[in-house]
Amino acid sequence: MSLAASLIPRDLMPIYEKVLQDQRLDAQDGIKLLESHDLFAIGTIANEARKRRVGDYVYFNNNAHINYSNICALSKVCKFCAFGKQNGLDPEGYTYTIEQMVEKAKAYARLGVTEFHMVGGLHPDMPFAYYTDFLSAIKQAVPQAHLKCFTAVEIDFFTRKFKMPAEEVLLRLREAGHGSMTGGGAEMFHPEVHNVLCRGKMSGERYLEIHRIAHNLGVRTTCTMLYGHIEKPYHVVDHMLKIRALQDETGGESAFIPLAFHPTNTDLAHLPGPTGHYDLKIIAVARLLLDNIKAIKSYWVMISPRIAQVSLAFGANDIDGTVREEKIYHFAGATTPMLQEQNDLLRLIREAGRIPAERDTLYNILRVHDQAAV
Amino acid sequence: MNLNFMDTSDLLRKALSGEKLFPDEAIYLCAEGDLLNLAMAGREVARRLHSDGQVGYAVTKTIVYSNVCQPECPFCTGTVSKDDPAAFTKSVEAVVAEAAEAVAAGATQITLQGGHRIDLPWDYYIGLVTALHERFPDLQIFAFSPTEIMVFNVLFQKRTSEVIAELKAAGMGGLIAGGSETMATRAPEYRALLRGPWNEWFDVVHRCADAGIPVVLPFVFGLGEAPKERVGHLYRSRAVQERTSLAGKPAFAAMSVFTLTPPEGVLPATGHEYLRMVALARVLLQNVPHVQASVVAQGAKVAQVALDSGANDLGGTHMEFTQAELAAGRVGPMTPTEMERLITDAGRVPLQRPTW
Repeated sequence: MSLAASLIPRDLMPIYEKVLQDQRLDAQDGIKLLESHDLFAIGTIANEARKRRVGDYVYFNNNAHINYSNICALSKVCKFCAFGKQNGLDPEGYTYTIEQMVEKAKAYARLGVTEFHMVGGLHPDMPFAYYTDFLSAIKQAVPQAHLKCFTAVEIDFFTRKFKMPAEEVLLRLREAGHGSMTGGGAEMFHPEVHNVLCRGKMSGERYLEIHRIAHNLGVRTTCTMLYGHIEKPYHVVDHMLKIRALQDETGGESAFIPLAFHPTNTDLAHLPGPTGHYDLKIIAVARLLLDNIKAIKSYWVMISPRIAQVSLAFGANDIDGTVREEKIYHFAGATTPMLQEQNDLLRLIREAGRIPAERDTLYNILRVHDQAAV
Repeated sequence: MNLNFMDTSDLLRKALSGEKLFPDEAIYLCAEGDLLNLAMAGREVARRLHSDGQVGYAVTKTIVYSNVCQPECPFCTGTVSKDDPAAFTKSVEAVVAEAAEAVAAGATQITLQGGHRIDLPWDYYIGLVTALHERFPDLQIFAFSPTEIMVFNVLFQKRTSEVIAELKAAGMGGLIAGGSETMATRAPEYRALLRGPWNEWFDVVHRCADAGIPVVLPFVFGLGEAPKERVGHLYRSRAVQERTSLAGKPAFAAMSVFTLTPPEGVLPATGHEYLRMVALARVLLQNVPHVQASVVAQGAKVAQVALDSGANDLGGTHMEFTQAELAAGRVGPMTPTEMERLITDAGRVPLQRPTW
C-alpha cells in the first residue's frame, strides 16, 4: 500500500474500499467527500479510481473557441453570466458575420487546429440559415475540422424559435456540417439552485432530454456543471448523479467538465468564487461518482493552468486544449491567458508524471507524446 | 547508492518514523517523489506538530527602501546599479510615511528590503530602524538579510555580533534569512559575496539566534537548480536549526517556501512543483516549527492547497501587492478577510498573529 493510501482517514476508508472493489459510490459517499477537508486523501482515492478506470493518458486537443455572438435573450436571466448582452442595447454586443468566422477558422486551421468549439448567446433575430450557413461555410473552408457547436440551451432555443422538434434541428445541423454538441448550459440542475441562478432558463430536465435526443441520433455531447456559487454538497451530488443516470442509459457523454463560477462582472459579483481546495474536490468527486464517463476534464481557462495541473492527481485525465480565443470567462474577469501553447500543455502533463495524448473531439488518440520533446 | 531500490512510500515512512533520510534518499524524493505521497506525508508532519488546526497569517507590508544593488544576481529582476536612471533610495522620512500608511491599514509587520550597496552610511540603516521603532513601538520590524549584515560587517568595520546588537537595540524585531537561495552553490556572484559560500551566512544566523532575533528561513526554488542543490539547502538549514536548538535558542521560527521569476532559459516553477516542495521541506525539516505557503508565489489557490501538503501558515498579506490573484477571475489586495476565507474553507482555524 502506498504511504498516501495508508494515511487515508478512517471516515473515508469505506469509500476507498469501494473504489478498490470497483463498486459504485452513492449520494452519501459524494456528500461525505465534499464535506471532508482531507484534501489529498480525497485526491488519493480519486487518483486510484482514475488509474483503474482510464489509465495514465492525459488528453488534450488542438482546438480553438469561436464564440459567434454574445447577444442573448437570456442576458437578464442568468445571474452568473458576464458574456451575454442585450440586443442593440450594449456597446459590447457583437455578432460575427459568416465571413469573419471563416477567416478565423482558416487562420486557426493553419495552426493545426482540429476542433472548433462554437457557442454563443440566444440571438433573438438571426434566422436558422445563419447557423446552418456558418457551419457549412466553415466545413467547406476547413473540411478536416470537427465542428463542436451549440449547447443544449441553444438547441432548445432553436426548437422554440424555429418551431422544429429537437431531432429535426439536430439533423439539419448535421447536414450542414455539425459534428457534436458542447456541454454548457447545465448550470446546476437542482431547482433550489437553478431558480436563484437563472429562473426562467431551460430546466435541468430539458437539458438532459436534449442530450438524450442527441445521443439517440448518434450525436455525442459533453456535459458540465457550474459550481462555486451558492450550492451545497447535495446539489452537486444530485447534479452528478442525474448525469450518471443518463449516461447509464445512452453512453453518449464523452466528457464531464466542471465549470468554476467567475463572479466578476456578473449579478453575483458579491460572491467570492471557488477556492483551489474546492476546485480539486469537485474534480475528485466527479471522477468518483461519474464512473461511466471516461474523461473528467480540468478546464485550465477557468481554474488556472496551475490548479488544472494539480487536478491531474485528483482524477482528471483531460486538460482541454490550446483554446486560443476565449470570451465567456474573460468577460467575467478571467486573468488566465487565452492560449496555452502545445509545449506548455505537454510540460504540465509530463511534470505531473503522466503521458500526454493528443486527441480529436471524439477522444480518438491522434498522437501519444511519450517521448520528451527535443 | 542504488536509485533503483528506492521507493517514495518507503522513504516517506522512514522519515515519518523520525529517522533521518540519507541525502541521496532526500534527493530521490525531491526529484521523483509523487505529489500525493509527498503531500500526505507533509500534511501528517504538520498535523503532528500543530494538532490545533490553527493556520496563522500576519498583516504585512514590504517596503523597498532602495533598489540599488551590487551583486547583480542572475535571477534578480528588482534591482539596478547606482547610476541607473531607475535607481532610488528613500529617505528615512519617506519610509516612515509609507509605514504609517500601512499601520493605518492594519499592518503589524514591516519588512525592510534593499540591495547590497557600499555607498550608504551606517547611520542610514540604523536610522531607518530607529525611526520606525520610535514612531511605531508595537510594529514588528523585519529588516535586512544575512548577506546585508555581512556587507555591513566589512563596510563599517563592526563585528557581526555588534551589528546585530545595534540593530536589535534600535528596534529590529526579526530577519528574513535571504541570500541563502539554493542557487548559492552555483551563482558566481553569490560565491564571491559569501566567500565560503556558507560559513558567514551561518554565522549571521547563529548570532541572530544568540541575540534572540527570530529568523525566517526562505526556501526558494525554481531558478534552475538541481534537486541536490535544493536538498543541500534544506540539509544545511536543518543542521543550523539542530545546532542552535542544542544551544537552547533555535534560530528559525518558520520556513517560507517560495518561487521567483527564473532567469531566461529556465521554465517557471509550476503549482504542482510548489506543492511538492512545501511537502518535501516539511518532511525534511521537522525541527522548524512553522512552514509558510506564500500567497504571492503561486496565487491564493495554490497557497491554500499547500495547507494540505505541509504548510500551516499563509505568511503575510503583502499589502504592497494590490493585484494578488484571489480566486478565479478575481484580483485585488490580499485582505485579512480573504486570508480567513482561504483558511476556513480548508477546514482550519484562522489566527492573525502579530508576527513571529
